[in-house]
Amino acid sequence: MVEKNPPEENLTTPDEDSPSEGQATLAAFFSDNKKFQVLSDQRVNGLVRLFNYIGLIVPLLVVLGAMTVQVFASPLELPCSHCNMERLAYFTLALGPALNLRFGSRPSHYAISLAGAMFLATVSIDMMVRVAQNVGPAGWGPVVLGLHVNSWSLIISIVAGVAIAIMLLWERQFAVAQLAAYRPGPKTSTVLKIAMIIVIAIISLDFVSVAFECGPGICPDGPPPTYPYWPF
Amino acid sequence: MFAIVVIGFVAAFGLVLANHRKPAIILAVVLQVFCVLFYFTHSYHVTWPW
Repeated sequence: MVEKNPPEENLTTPDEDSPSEGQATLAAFFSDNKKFQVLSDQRVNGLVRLFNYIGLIVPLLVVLGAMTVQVFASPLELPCSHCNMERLAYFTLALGPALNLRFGSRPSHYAISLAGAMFLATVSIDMMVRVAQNVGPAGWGPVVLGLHVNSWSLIISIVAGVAIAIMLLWERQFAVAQLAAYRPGPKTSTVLKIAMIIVIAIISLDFVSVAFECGPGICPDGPPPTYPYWPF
Repeated sequence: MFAIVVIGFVAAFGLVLANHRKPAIILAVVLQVFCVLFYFTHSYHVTWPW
């Protein structure tokens, strides 16, 4: 008697939730048919989360530093219109990592950060050209570590753009984010909750600054000596 | 107007915290459009070197 083929459900099929094995060889790196893998799924997930926490916190620390100078400088050093726009770009830059940390890595989240990095670069270059034209090589604005702050913004935007490109090239993170073990749950983790509350607090402080400087309209091109809409 | 956009960013991060992914992304895109509009609103004459 001829033995029948086993039914299809008994065949071994790869479990999509099980960690897949790859090779850490140059041949696998350059081959379309072999899977290149150096790090375990757990390590990939940990590194991606670490990089995203850095991407979430660093832009907001830059804004917090600018606001600290604004508040404690004597005389008052209010931000110009371009400086205020750069702050918006930093917020956009941080939104992508926030989405990645809460919902798992997706290219669309990185796209938002990329838009922020491009806007930051545009505003920074525009400001540098204006300063070069109107003030000259002496520059304008506070100097940090030998460079004007708008020059630092341009450098940060380039670094952020390169970092986002590298993260998008790292395709494995998107596959790992789909695994059941690393898929974010319905509840936000405590660390992320704290980080997000800090971020929201910094943006709220910026709202207070903008409300007193710009009022209901757009911000003045040149920084005013005092808050024009300060009610007291 | 500018202050409303800043509040918009608070709302976007709030939406992420409240587990609303797509509304947060849509709001981020809308805010980005406003950012570009602000950029053109503030653009005064610059003699570019080309």
